[in-house]
Amino acid sequence: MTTRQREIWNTKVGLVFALAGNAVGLGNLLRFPVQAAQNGGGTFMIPYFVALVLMGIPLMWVELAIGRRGGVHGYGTTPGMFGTLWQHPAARYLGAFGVLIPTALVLYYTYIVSWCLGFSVFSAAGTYFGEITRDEMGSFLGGYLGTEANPHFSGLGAAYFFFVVTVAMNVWILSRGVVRGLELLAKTAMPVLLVLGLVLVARVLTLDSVHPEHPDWNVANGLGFIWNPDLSRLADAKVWLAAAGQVFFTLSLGFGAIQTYASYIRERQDLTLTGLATTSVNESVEVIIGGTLAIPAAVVFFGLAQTREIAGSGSFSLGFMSMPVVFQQLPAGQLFGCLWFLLLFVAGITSSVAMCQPMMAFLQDEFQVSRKKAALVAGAGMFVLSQPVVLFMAHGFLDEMDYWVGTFGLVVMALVEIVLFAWVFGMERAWEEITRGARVRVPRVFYYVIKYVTPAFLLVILGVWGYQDAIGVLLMDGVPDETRPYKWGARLLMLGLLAVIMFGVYKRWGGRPMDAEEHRP
Amino acid sequence: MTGTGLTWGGAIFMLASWGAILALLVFCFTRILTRR
Repeated sequence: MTTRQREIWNTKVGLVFALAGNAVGLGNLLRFPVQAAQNGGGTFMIPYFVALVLMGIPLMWVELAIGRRGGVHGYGTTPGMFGTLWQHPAARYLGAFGVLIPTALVLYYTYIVSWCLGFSVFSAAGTYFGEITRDEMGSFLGGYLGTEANPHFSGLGAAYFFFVVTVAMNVWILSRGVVRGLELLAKTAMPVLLVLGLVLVARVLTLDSVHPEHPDWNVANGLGFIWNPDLSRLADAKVWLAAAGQVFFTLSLGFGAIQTYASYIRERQDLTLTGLATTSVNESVEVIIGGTLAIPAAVVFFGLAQTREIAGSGSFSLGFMSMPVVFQQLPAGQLFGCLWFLLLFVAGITSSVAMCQPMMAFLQDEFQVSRKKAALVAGAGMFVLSQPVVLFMAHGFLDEMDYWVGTFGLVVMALVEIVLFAWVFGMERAWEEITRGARVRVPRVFYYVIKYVTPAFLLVILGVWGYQDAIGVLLMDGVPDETRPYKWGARLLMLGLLAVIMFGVYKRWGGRPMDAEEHRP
Repeated sequence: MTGTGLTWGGAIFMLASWGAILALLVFCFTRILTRR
Protein backbone atom coordinates (compact mmCIF):
# COMPACT_ATOMS: atom_id res chain seq x y z
CA MET A 1 0.00 0.00 0.00
CA THR A 2 1.43 3.33 -1.02
CA THR A 3 1.82 5.71 1.87
CA ARG A 4 4.28 8.28 0.60
CA GLN A 5 3.15 11.49 -1.06
CA ARG A 6 3.91 11.14 -4.76
CA GLU A 7 5.48 14.10 -6.54
CA ILE A 8 3.61 15.96 -9.29
CA TRP A 9 4.91 18.09 -12.14
CA ASN A 10 5.28 21.68 -11.06
CA THR A 11 4.28 23.46 -14.30
CA LYS A 12 2.38 22.65 -17.50
CA VAL A 13 5.31 23.69 -19.68
CA GLY A 14 7.65 21.62 -17.53
CA LEU A 15 5.38 18.61 -18.02
CA VAL A 16 5.29 19.04 -21.82
CA PHE A 17 9.06 19.56 -22.01
CA ALA A 18 9.64 16.52 -19.80
CA LEU A 19 7.39 14.36 -21.99
CA ALA A 20 8.99 15.81 -25.12
CA GLY A 21 12.46 15.19 -23.66
CA ASN A 22 11.33 11.64 -23.00
CA ALA A 23 10.21 11.24 -26.63
CA VAL A 24 12.95 13.21 -28.39
CA GLY A 25 16.05 11.08 -28.57
CA LEU A 26 18.70 9.71 -30.89
CA GLY A 27 15.92 8.24 -33.03
CA ASN A 28 14.73 11.72 -34.06
CA LEU A 29 18.11 12.80 -35.37
CA LEU A 30 19.66 9.56 -36.62
CA ARG A 31 17.03 6.87 -37.10
CA PHE A 32 14.43 9.08 -38.77
CA PRO A 33 16.60 10.40 -41.64
CA VAL A 34 17.97 6.92 -42.27
CA GLN A 35 14.48 5.40 -42.37
CA ALA A 36 13.18 8.17 -44.63
CA ALA A 37 16.10 7.86 -47.02
CA GLN A 38 15.90 4.05 -47.11
CA ASN A 39 12.17 4.03 -47.80
CA GLY A 40 11.64 6.44 -50.63
CA GLY A 41 11.95 9.87 -49.01
CA GLY A 42 8.72 11.73 -49.68
CA THR A 43 6.97 8.41 -50.19
CA PHE A 44 7.92 7.43 -46.63
CA MET A 45 6.56 10.69 -45.25
CA ILE A 46 2.98 9.99 -46.42
CA PRO A 47 2.51 6.77 -44.38
CA TYR A 48 4.54 8.38 -41.62
CA PHE A 49 1.94 11.12 -41.14
CA VAL A 50 -0.94 8.64 -41.55
CA ALA A 51 0.59 6.43 -38.82
CA LEU A 52 1.16 9.48 -36.63
CA VAL A 53 -2.53 10.39 -36.73
CA LEU A 54 -4.03 6.90 -36.58
CA MET A 55 -1.58 5.26 -34.21
CA GLY A 56 0.92 7.69 -32.67
CA ILE A 57 -1.34 10.38 -31.25
CA PRO A 58 -4.09 7.94 -30.09
CA LEU A 59 -1.51 5.75 -28.35
CA MET A 60 0.06 8.80 -26.75
CA TRP A 61 -3.35 9.72 -25.30
CA VAL A 62 -3.93 6.12 -24.16
CA GLU A 63 -0.54 5.95 -22.40
CA LEU A 64 -1.06 9.34 -20.77
CA ALA A 65 -4.54 8.30 -19.57
CA ILE A 66 -3.31 4.95 -18.21
CA GLY A 67 -0.44 6.74 -16.48
CA ARG A 68 -2.54 9.50 -14.95
CA ARG A 69 -5.10 6.97 -13.72
CA GLY A 70 -2.27 4.87 -12.24
CA GLY A 71 -0.81 7.89 -10.46
CA VAL A 72 -4.18 8.72 -8.92
CA HIS A 73 -4.22 5.19 -7.49
CA GLY A 74 -0.64 5.56 -6.23
CA TYR A 75 1.06 3.55 -8.98
CA GLY A 76 3.95 4.79 -11.12
CA THR A 77 4.44 1.71 -13.26
CA THR A 78 2.39 -0.58 -15.47
CA PRO A 79 2.08 -3.58 -13.07
CA GLY A 80 -0.03 -1.49 -10.72
CA MET A 81 -1.65 0.48 -13.55
CA PHE A 82 -2.78 -2.60 -15.47
CA GLY A 83 -4.14 -3.98 -12.21
CA THR A 84 -6.54 -1.04 -12.04
CA LEU A 85 -7.75 -1.75 -15.59
CA TRP A 86 -8.25 -5.49 -15.30
CA GLN A 87 -9.07 -7.10 -11.97
CA HIS A 88 -7.07 -10.23 -12.60
CA PRO A 89 -3.64 -11.12 -11.17
CA ALA A 90 -2.34 -11.73 -14.72
CA ALA A 91 -2.73 -8.01 -15.42
CA ARG A 92 0.12 -7.15 -13.08
CA TYR A 93 2.41 -9.76 -14.58
CA LEU A 94 1.65 -8.38 -18.06
CA GLY A 95 2.52 -4.99 -16.62
CA ALA A 96 5.97 -6.31 -15.67
CA PHE A 97 6.93 -5.85 -19.34
CA GLY A 98 6.41 -2.11 -18.91
CA VAL A 99 9.23 -2.12 -16.35
CA LEU A 100 11.39 -4.62 -18.23
CA ILE A 101 11.40 -2.77 -21.56
CA PRO A 102 12.72 0.61 -20.38
CA THR A 103 15.12 -1.03 -17.93
CA ALA A 104 16.62 -3.31 -20.59
CA LEU A 105 16.64 -0.50 -23.15
CA VAL A 106 18.57 1.83 -20.89
CA LEU A 107 21.35 -0.74 -20.52
CA TYR A 108 22.50 -0.10 -24.07
CA TYR A 109 20.90 3.28 -24.78
CA THR A 110 22.94 5.04 -22.07
CA TYR A 111 26.12 3.54 -23.51
CA ILE A 112 25.29 4.97 -26.94
CA VAL A 113 24.43 8.33 -25.37
CA SER A 114 27.88 8.31 -23.75
CA TRP A 115 29.49 7.96 -27.21
CA CYS A 116 27.84 11.26 -28.13
CA LEU A 117 29.43 12.94 -25.11
CA GLY A 118 32.78 11.42 -26.03
CA PHE A 119 32.55 12.45 -29.68
CA SER A 120 31.49 15.94 -28.66
CA VAL A 121 34.76 16.26 -26.71
CA PHE A 122 36.74 14.64 -29.55
CA SER A 123 35.20 17.14 -32.00
CA ALA A 124 36.04 20.14 -29.83
CA ALA A 125 39.60 18.84 -29.35
CA GLY A 126 39.95 17.87 -33.02
CA THR A 127 40.96 14.32 -31.99
CA TYR A 128 39.60 12.65 -35.10
CA PHE A 129 40.55 15.47 -37.46
CA GLY A 130 42.83 13.92 -40.05
CA GLU A 131 40.64 10.80 -40.39
CA ILE A 132 39.13 12.13 -43.57
CA THR A 133 37.26 9.16 -45.03
CA ARG A 134 34.32 7.17 -43.71
CA ASP A 135 36.50 4.08 -43.48
CA GLU A 136 39.04 5.93 -41.39
CA MET A 137 36.26 7.26 -39.14
CA GLY A 138 34.88 3.72 -38.91
CA SER A 139 38.28 2.63 -37.66
CA PHE A 140 38.32 5.55 -35.17
CA LEU A 141 34.89 4.48 -33.85
CA GLY A 142 36.03 0.85 -33.75
CA GLY A 143 39.05 1.85 -31.68
CA TYR A 144 36.84 3.80 -29.28
CA LEU A 145 34.53 0.80 -28.88
CA GLY A 146 37.44 -1.59 -28.44
CA THR A 147 36.61 -3.65 -31.52
CA GLU A 148 39.91 -2.85 -33.24
CA ALA A 149 43.27 -1.37 -32.39
CA ASN A 150 44.27 2.04 -33.74
CA PRO A 151 46.70 4.83 -32.84
CA HIS A 152 44.01 6.82 -31.00
CA PHE A 153 42.80 4.23 -28.50
CA SER A 154 44.61 1.38 -26.80
CA GLY A 155 41.52 -0.06 -25.13
CA LEU A 156 38.14 0.80 -23.72
CA GLY A 157 39.45 3.41 -21.27
CA ALA A 158 37.94 6.43 -23.04
CA ALA A 159 34.62 4.65 -23.66
CA TYR A 160 34.41 3.67 -19.99
CA PHE A 161 35.28 7.18 -18.85
CA PHE A 162 32.43 8.79 -20.81
CA PHE A 163 30.07 5.96 -19.89
CA VAL A 164 30.74 6.43 -16.18
CA VAL A 165 30.25 10.20 -16.53
CA THR A 166 26.92 9.64 -18.35
CA VAL A 167 25.69 7.09 -15.78
CA ALA A 168 26.69 9.45 -12.95
CA MET A 169 24.74 12.29 -14.58
CA ASN A 170 21.69 10.03 -14.85
CA VAL A 171 21.94 9.04 -11.19
CA TRP A 172 22.37 12.66 -10.07
CA ILE A 173 19.33 13.84 -12.07
CA LEU A 174 17.17 10.92 -10.91
CA SER A 175 18.19 11.38 -7.28
CA ARG A 176 16.87 14.96 -7.37
CA GLY A 177 13.36 13.71 -8.06
CA VAL A 178 10.61 14.60 -10.51
CA VAL A 179 10.47 18.37 -10.10
CA ARG A 180 14.07 19.27 -9.19
CA GLY A 181 15.57 16.57 -11.40
CA LEU A 182 13.50 15.52 -14.41
CA GLU A 183 11.50 18.73 -14.83
CA LEU A 184 14.45 21.04 -14.31
CA LEU A 185 16.52 19.01 -16.76
CA ALA A 186 13.75 19.18 -19.37
CA LYS A 187 13.17 22.91 -18.92
CA THR A 188 16.90 23.49 -19.41
CA ALA A 189 17.74 20.87 -22.01
CA MET A 190 14.82 21.26 -24.42
CA PRO A 191 15.45 24.96 -25.23
CA VAL A 192 19.18 24.18 -25.55
CA LEU A 193 18.36 21.30 -27.89
CA LEU A 194 16.10 23.48 -30.05
CA VAL A 195 18.72 26.24 -30.30
CA LEU A 196 21.52 23.77 -31.14
CA GLY A 197 19.30 22.13 -33.75
CA LEU A 198 18.31 25.42 -35.38
CA VAL A 199 21.94 26.63 -35.50
CA LEU A 200 22.93 23.43 -37.28
CA VAL A 201 19.91 23.62 -39.62
CA ALA A 202 20.95 27.16 -40.60
CA ARG A 203 24.48 25.90 -41.25
CA VAL A 204 23.33 23.01 -43.45
CA LEU A 205 20.84 25.12 -45.43
CA THR A 206 23.59 27.64 -46.26
CA LEU A 207 26.12 25.03 -47.38
CA ASP A 208 27.56 25.68 -50.82
CA SER A 209 28.42 22.85 -53.14
CA VAL A 210 31.96 21.82 -52.19
CA HIS A 211 32.81 19.69 -55.20
CA PRO A 212 32.80 21.84 -58.38
CA GLU A 213 33.03 18.67 -60.47
CA HIS A 214 29.72 17.52 -58.93
CA PRO A 215 27.31 20.48 -59.05
CA ASP A 216 24.42 18.10 -58.29
CA TRP A 217 25.90 17.44 -54.82
CA ASN A 218 23.93 20.21 -53.14
CA VAL A 219 21.43 20.89 -50.36
CA ALA A 220 18.45 21.01 -52.76
CA ASN A 221 19.18 17.46 -53.86
CA GLY A 222 19.59 16.48 -50.23
CA LEU A 223 16.16 17.87 -49.34
CA GLY A 224 14.76 16.28 -52.48
CA PHE A 225 16.19 12.96 -51.24
CA ILE A 226 13.99 13.28 -48.13
CA TRP A 227 10.92 15.03 -49.55
CA ASN A 228 10.36 14.29 -53.27
CA PRO A 229 7.44 11.84 -53.33
CA ASP A 230 7.76 8.72 -55.45
CA LEU A 231 4.11 7.67 -55.47
CA SER A 232 4.86 4.38 -57.21
CA ARG A 233 6.32 3.08 -53.92
CA LEU A 234 3.18 3.85 -51.88
CA ALA A 235 1.86 0.36 -52.55
CA ASP A 236 4.95 -1.15 -50.94
CA ALA A 237 3.92 -2.59 -47.54
CA LYS A 238 7.52 -2.36 -46.33
CA VAL A 239 7.38 1.44 -46.54
CA TRP A 240 4.20 1.55 -44.44
CA LEU A 241 5.68 -0.76 -41.81
CA ALA A 242 8.89 1.24 -41.64
CA ALA A 243 6.90 4.46 -41.20
CA ALA A 244 4.68 2.97 -38.50
CA GLY A 245 7.76 1.61 -36.72
CA GLN A 246 9.42 5.01 -36.76
CA VAL A 247 6.33 6.67 -35.25
CA PHE A 248 6.57 4.16 -32.41
CA PHE A 249 10.21 4.82 -31.63
CA THR A 250 10.02 8.55 -32.00
CA LEU A 251 7.14 9.02 -29.55
CA SER A 252 8.60 6.46 -27.09
CA LEU A 253 5.37 4.47 -27.29
CA GLY A 254 5.21 0.98 -25.78
CA PHE A 255 8.23 1.72 -23.55
CA GLY A 256 6.37 2.14 -20.25
CA ALA A 257 8.11 5.49 -19.72
CA ILE A 258 5.28 7.79 -20.88
CA GLN A 259 2.94 6.09 -18.39
CA THR A 260 5.38 6.67 -15.55
CA TYR A 261 5.80 10.35 -16.44
CA ALA A 262 2.00 10.67 -16.70
CA SER A 263 1.60 9.20 -13.21
CA TYR A 264 2.94 12.51 -11.86
CA ILE A 265 0.12 14.50 -13.51
CA ARG A 266 -2.73 15.96 -11.45
CA GLU A 267 -6.03 14.05 -11.66
CA ARG A 268 -7.91 16.72 -13.59
CA GLN A 269 -5.02 18.07 -15.63
CA ASP A 270 -5.51 18.10 -19.38
CA LEU A 271 -4.10 15.11 -21.26
CA THR A 272 -5.20 15.72 -24.82
CA LEU A 273 -3.51 19.11 -25.19
CA THR A 274 -0.46 17.80 -23.33
CA GLY A 275 -0.25 14.87 -25.74
CA LEU A 276 -0.62 17.10 -28.79
CA ALA A 277 1.98 19.56 -27.49
CA THR A 278 4.42 16.74 -26.78
CA THR A 279 3.86 15.36 -30.27
CA SER A 280 4.33 18.78 -31.88
CA VAL A 281 7.68 19.36 -30.11
CA ASN A 282 8.83 15.85 -30.99
CA GLU A 283 7.82 16.24 -34.65
CA SER A 284 9.50 19.65 -34.86
CA VAL A 285 12.77 18.08 -33.76
CA GLU A 286 12.32 15.01 -35.94
CA VAL A 287 10.85 16.26 -39.20
CA ILE A 288 12.17 19.83 -39.33
CA ILE A 289 15.55 19.48 -37.59
CA GLY A 290 16.28 15.75 -38.05
CA GLY A 291 15.16 15.78 -41.67
CA THR A 292 17.28 18.78 -42.56
CA LEU A 293 20.61 17.90 -40.95
CA ALA A 294 22.37 14.63 -41.62
CA ILE A 295 21.05 13.53 -45.03
CA PRO A 296 21.23 16.90 -46.86
CA ALA A 297 24.72 17.45 -45.39
CA ALA A 298 25.77 13.97 -46.51
CA VAL A 299 24.49 14.63 -50.05
CA VAL A 300 26.59 17.83 -50.27
CA PHE A 301 29.79 16.04 -49.29
CA PHE A 302 29.29 12.48 -50.55
CA GLY A 303 26.75 12.79 -53.38
CA LEU A 304 23.50 10.94 -53.86
CA ALA A 305 24.86 7.48 -54.58
CA GLN A 306 27.09 7.35 -51.49
CA THR A 307 24.39 8.90 -49.31
CA ARG A 308 22.06 6.11 -50.35
CA GLU A 309 24.78 3.65 -49.32
CA ILE A 310 25.34 5.50 -46.01
CA ALA A 311 21.61 5.43 -45.23
CA GLY A 312 21.61 1.72 -46.03
CA SER A 313 24.40 1.07 -43.53
CA GLY A 314 22.42 2.53 -40.64
CA SER A 315 22.24 5.25 -38.02
CA PHE A 316 25.66 4.77 -36.42
CA SER A 317 27.35 4.99 -39.80
CA LEU A 318 25.54 8.25 -40.55
CA GLY A 319 26.03 9.86 -37.15
CA PHE A 320 29.47 8.70 -36.06
CA MET A 321 31.31 8.00 -39.32
CA SER A 322 29.87 10.24 -42.04
CA MET A 323 29.06 13.41 -40.10
CA PRO A 324 32.59 13.72 -38.64
CA VAL A 325 33.96 13.60 -42.20
CA VAL A 326 31.55 16.43 -43.10
CA PHE A 327 32.67 18.56 -40.14
CA GLN A 328 36.31 18.22 -41.13
CA GLN A 329 35.54 19.96 -44.41
CA LEU A 330 33.60 22.85 -42.87
CA PRO A 331 35.03 26.12 -41.61
CA ALA A 332 34.82 26.00 -37.79
CA GLY A 333 34.25 22.25 -38.17
CA GLN A 334 35.42 21.49 -34.63
CA LEU A 335 32.71 23.79 -33.27
CA PHE A 336 29.95 22.37 -35.48
CA GLY A 337 31.07 18.81 -34.75
CA CYS A 338 30.95 19.56 -31.04
CA LEU A 339 27.47 21.09 -31.39
CA TRP A 340 26.17 18.09 -33.41
CA PHE A 341 27.28 15.53 -30.84
CA LEU A 342 26.16 17.77 -27.99
CA LEU A 343 22.73 17.92 -29.66
CA LEU A 344 22.65 14.11 -29.77
CA PHE A 345 23.82 13.90 -26.16
CA VAL A 346 21.17 16.32 -24.88
CA ALA A 347 18.46 14.49 -26.85
CA GLY A 348 19.75 11.18 -25.51
CA ILE A 349 20.10 11.98 -21.82
CA THR A 350 16.57 13.40 -21.51
CA SER A 351 15.41 10.01 -22.82
CA SER A 352 17.77 7.86 -20.76
CA VAL A 353 16.56 9.36 -17.45
CA ALA A 354 12.99 8.72 -18.63
CA MET A 355 13.85 5.06 -19.27
CA CYS A 356 15.29 4.77 -15.74
CA GLN A 357 12.27 6.36 -14.10
CA PRO A 358 9.94 3.30 -14.32
CA MET A 359 12.40 1.21 -12.28
CA MET A 360 12.80 4.14 -9.88
CA ALA A 361 9.02 4.45 -9.53
CA PHE A 362 8.62 0.68 -9.11
CA LEU A 363 11.10 0.69 -6.21
CA GLN A 364 9.74 3.89 -4.66
CA ASP A 365 6.00 3.27 -5.01
CA GLU A 366 5.83 -0.46 -4.43
CA PHE A 367 8.72 -1.10 -2.03
CA GLN A 368 9.02 2.24 -0.24
CA VAL A 369 12.67 2.62 -1.28
CA SER A 370 13.90 6.19 -0.83
CA ARG A 371 14.49 8.28 -3.94
CA LYS A 372 18.25 8.55 -3.46
CA LYS A 373 18.62 4.86 -2.74
CA ALA A 374 16.48 3.99 -5.78
CA ALA A 375 18.65 6.24 -7.97
CA LEU A 376 21.81 4.56 -6.69
CA VAL A 377 20.34 1.10 -7.25
CA ALA A 378 19.24 2.10 -10.78
CA GLY A 379 22.66 3.58 -11.58
CA ALA A 380 24.66 0.69 -10.15
CA GLY A 381 22.37 -1.84 -11.86
CA MET A 382 22.64 0.04 -15.14
CA PHE A 383 26.44 0.08 -14.99
CA VAL A 384 26.90 -3.54 -13.93
CA LEU A 385 24.31 -5.08 -16.24
CA SER A 386 25.49 -3.10 -19.25
CA GLN A 387 28.97 -4.63 -19.06
CA PRO A 388 28.14 -7.39 -21.57
CA VAL A 389 26.84 -4.69 -23.96
CA VAL A 390 30.15 -2.82 -23.67
CA LEU A 391 32.40 -5.87 -23.82
CA PHE A 392 30.54 -7.91 -26.44
CA MET A 393 29.57 -5.06 -28.74
CA ALA A 394 31.15 -6.70 -31.76
CA HIS A 395 29.31 -9.98 -31.17
CA GLY A 396 25.76 -8.74 -31.64
CA PHE A 397 24.83 -8.51 -27.94
CA LEU A 398 23.38 -5.02 -28.36
CA ASP A 399 21.57 -5.93 -31.60
CA GLU A 400 19.86 -8.90 -29.94
CA MET A 401 18.60 -6.78 -27.05
CA ASP A 402 17.56 -4.00 -29.39
CA TYR A 403 15.46 -6.35 -31.48
CA TRP A 404 13.53 -7.93 -28.62
CA VAL A 405 13.04 -5.03 -26.23
CA GLY A 406 13.64 -2.06 -28.54
CA THR A 407 11.63 -3.20 -31.56
CA PHE A 408 9.35 -6.20 -31.21
CA GLY A 409 8.65 -5.71 -27.50
CA LEU A 410 7.36 -2.17 -28.02
CA VAL A 411 4.62 -3.28 -30.41
CA VAL A 412 3.60 -6.17 -28.13
CA MET A 413 3.45 -3.84 -25.13
CA ALA A 414 1.41 -1.25 -27.03
CA LEU A 415 -1.03 -3.89 -28.25
CA VAL A 416 -1.47 -5.28 -24.73
CA GLU A 417 -2.11 -1.86 -23.21
CA ILE A 418 -4.59 -0.71 -25.84
CA VAL A 419 -6.54 -3.99 -25.64
CA LEU A 420 -6.62 -3.74 -21.84
CA PHE A 421 -7.66 -0.10 -21.93
CA ALA A 422 -10.13 0.02 -24.82
CA TRP A 423 -11.59 -3.47 -24.61
CA VAL A 424 -11.15 -4.90 -21.10
CA PHE A 425 -11.47 -1.67 -19.12
CA GLY A 426 -14.05 -0.56 -21.68
CA MET A 427 -14.02 2.15 -24.32
CA GLU A 428 -16.66 4.33 -22.63
CA ARG A 429 -14.60 4.55 -19.44
CA ALA A 430 -11.39 4.84 -21.45
CA TRP A 431 -12.81 7.79 -23.39
CA GLU A 432 -13.88 9.44 -20.16
CA GLU A 433 -10.34 8.98 -18.79
CA ILE A 434 -8.76 10.49 -21.90
CA THR A 435 -11.07 13.48 -22.16
CA ARG A 436 -11.39 14.33 -18.44
CA GLY A 437 -10.09 17.89 -17.98
CA ALA A 438 -9.48 18.23 -21.74
CA ARG A 439 -9.07 21.81 -22.92
CA VAL A 440 -9.35 20.89 -26.58
CA ARG A 441 -12.32 18.93 -27.81
CA VAL A 442 -11.14 15.62 -29.24
CA PRO A 443 -13.18 14.64 -32.31
CA ARG A 444 -15.43 11.67 -31.53
CA VAL A 445 -13.90 9.81 -34.48
CA PHE A 446 -10.87 9.09 -32.25
CA TYR A 447 -13.15 7.03 -30.01
CA TYR A 448 -13.45 4.57 -32.89
CA VAL A 449 -9.84 5.01 -33.97
CA ILE A 450 -8.64 4.00 -30.48
CA LYS A 451 -11.08 1.13 -30.26
CA TYR A 452 -10.65 -0.36 -33.73
CA VAL A 453 -8.08 1.28 -35.99
CA THR A 454 -5.06 1.56 -33.67
CA PRO A 455 -5.30 -2.05 -32.40
CA ALA A 456 -5.75 -3.25 -36.00
CA PHE A 457 -2.71 -1.21 -37.08
CA LEU A 458 -0.68 -2.78 -34.26
CA LEU A 459 -1.89 -6.28 -35.07
CA VAL A 460 -0.84 -5.90 -38.69
CA ILE A 461 2.61 -4.61 -37.72
CA LEU A 462 3.05 -7.40 -35.19
CA GLY A 463 1.85 -10.04 -37.64
CA VAL A 464 4.06 -8.92 -40.48
CA TRP A 465 7.13 -8.36 -38.31
CA GLY A 466 6.52 -11.67 -36.58
CA TYR A 467 6.28 -13.48 -39.90
CA GLN A 468 9.08 -11.62 -41.68
CA ASP A 469 11.65 -11.19 -38.92
CA ALA A 470 10.85 -12.48 -35.47
CA ILE A 471 10.83 -16.19 -36.28
CA GLY A 472 14.16 -15.89 -38.10
CA VAL A 473 15.69 -13.82 -35.30
CA LEU A 474 14.34 -16.25 -32.68
CA LEU A 475 15.83 -19.24 -34.51
CA MET A 476 19.04 -17.25 -35.21
CA ASP A 477 18.86 -17.86 -38.95
CA GLY A 478 22.17 -17.02 -40.56
CA VAL A 479 23.87 -16.28 -37.24
CA PRO A 480 27.44 -17.70 -37.18
CA ASP A 481 28.09 -20.37 -34.53
CA GLU A 482 30.67 -18.24 -32.74
CA THR A 483 28.11 -15.41 -32.27
CA ARG A 484 25.30 -17.57 -30.91
CA PRO A 485 26.56 -17.77 -27.29
CA TYR A 486 26.52 -13.96 -27.11
CA LYS A 487 22.98 -13.80 -28.48
CA TRP A 488 21.92 -16.39 -25.92
CA GLY A 489 23.66 -14.32 -23.27
CA ALA A 490 21.59 -11.29 -24.25
CA ARG A 491 18.41 -13.37 -24.06
CA LEU A 492 19.34 -14.75 -20.65
CA LEU A 493 20.01 -11.23 -19.40
CA MET A 494 16.57 -10.05 -20.57
CA LEU A 495 14.83 -13.15 -19.17
CA GLY A 496 16.70 -12.75 -15.88
CA LEU A 497 15.58 -9.13 -15.62
CA LEU A 498 12.00 -10.15 -16.38
CA ALA A 499 12.15 -12.86 -13.71
CA VAL A 500 13.40 -10.36 -11.11
CA ILE A 501 10.66 -7.85 -11.97
CA MET A 502 7.98 -10.57 -11.92
CA PHE A 503 9.29 -11.71 -8.53
CA GLY A 504 8.92 -8.09 -7.41
CA VAL A 505 5.32 -8.11 -8.64
CA TYR A 506 4.71 -11.38 -6.78
CA LYS A 507 6.24 -10.03 -3.56
CA ARG A 508 4.21 -6.84 -3.81
CA TRP A 509 0.83 -8.28 -4.67
CA GLY A 510 1.06 -12.06 -4.54
CA GLY A 511 -1.75 -13.63 -6.50
CA ARG A 512 -4.60 -11.61 -5.09
CA PRO A 513 -6.97 -9.82 -7.44
CA MET A 514 -6.90 -6.08 -7.58
CA ASP A 515 -9.45 -3.81 -6.06
CA ALA A 516 -9.65 -0.92 -8.49
CA GLU A 517 -10.40 1.50 -5.73
CA GLU A 518 -7.84 0.21 -3.26
CA HIS A 519 -5.51 3.15 -3.68
CA ARG A 520 -7.97 5.86 -4.52
CA PRO A 521 -7.43 8.66 -2.00
CA MET B 1 14.89 9.31 -54.80
CA THR B 2 15.67 11.55 -57.72
CA GLY B 3 18.69 13.62 -58.53
CA THR B 4 16.65 16.52 -59.81
CA GLY B 5 16.85 18.70 -56.73
CA LEU B 6 13.85 19.51 -54.65
CA THR B 7 10.87 19.26 -57.00
CA TRP B 8 7.83 21.52 -56.74
CA GLY B 9 5.88 18.59 -55.30
CA GLY B 10 8.63 17.89 -52.77
CA ALA B 11 8.94 21.55 -51.79
CA ILE B 12 5.19 21.96 -51.29
CA PHE B 13 5.03 18.73 -49.28
CA MET B 14 7.99 19.80 -47.14
CA LEU B 15 6.67 23.30 -46.46
CA ALA B 16 3.13 22.05 -45.80
CA SER B 17 4.46 19.48 -43.32
CA TRP B 18 6.67 22.00 -41.56
CA GLY B 19 3.78 24.48 -41.50
CA ALA B 20 1.35 21.97 -40.04
CA ILE B 21 3.78 20.91 -37.32
CA LEU B 22 4.64 24.49 -36.39
CA ALA B 23 0.97 25.50 -36.42
CA LEU B 24 0.20 22.64 -34.01
CA LEU B 25 3.14 23.71 -31.84
CA VAL B 26 1.96 27.33 -31.70
CA PHE B 27 -1.67 26.32 -31.09
CA CYS B 28 -0.77 24.01 -28.21
CA PHE B 29 1.66 26.34 -26.47
CA THR B 30 -0.67 29.32 -26.88
CA ARG B 31 -3.41 27.32 -25.17
CA ILE B 32 -1.06 26.06 -22.47
CA LEU B 33 0.46 29.44 -21.70
CA THR B 34 -2.61 31.64 -21.90
CA ARG B 35 -5.21 29.70 -19.90
CA ARG B 36 -4.94 28.67 -16.30
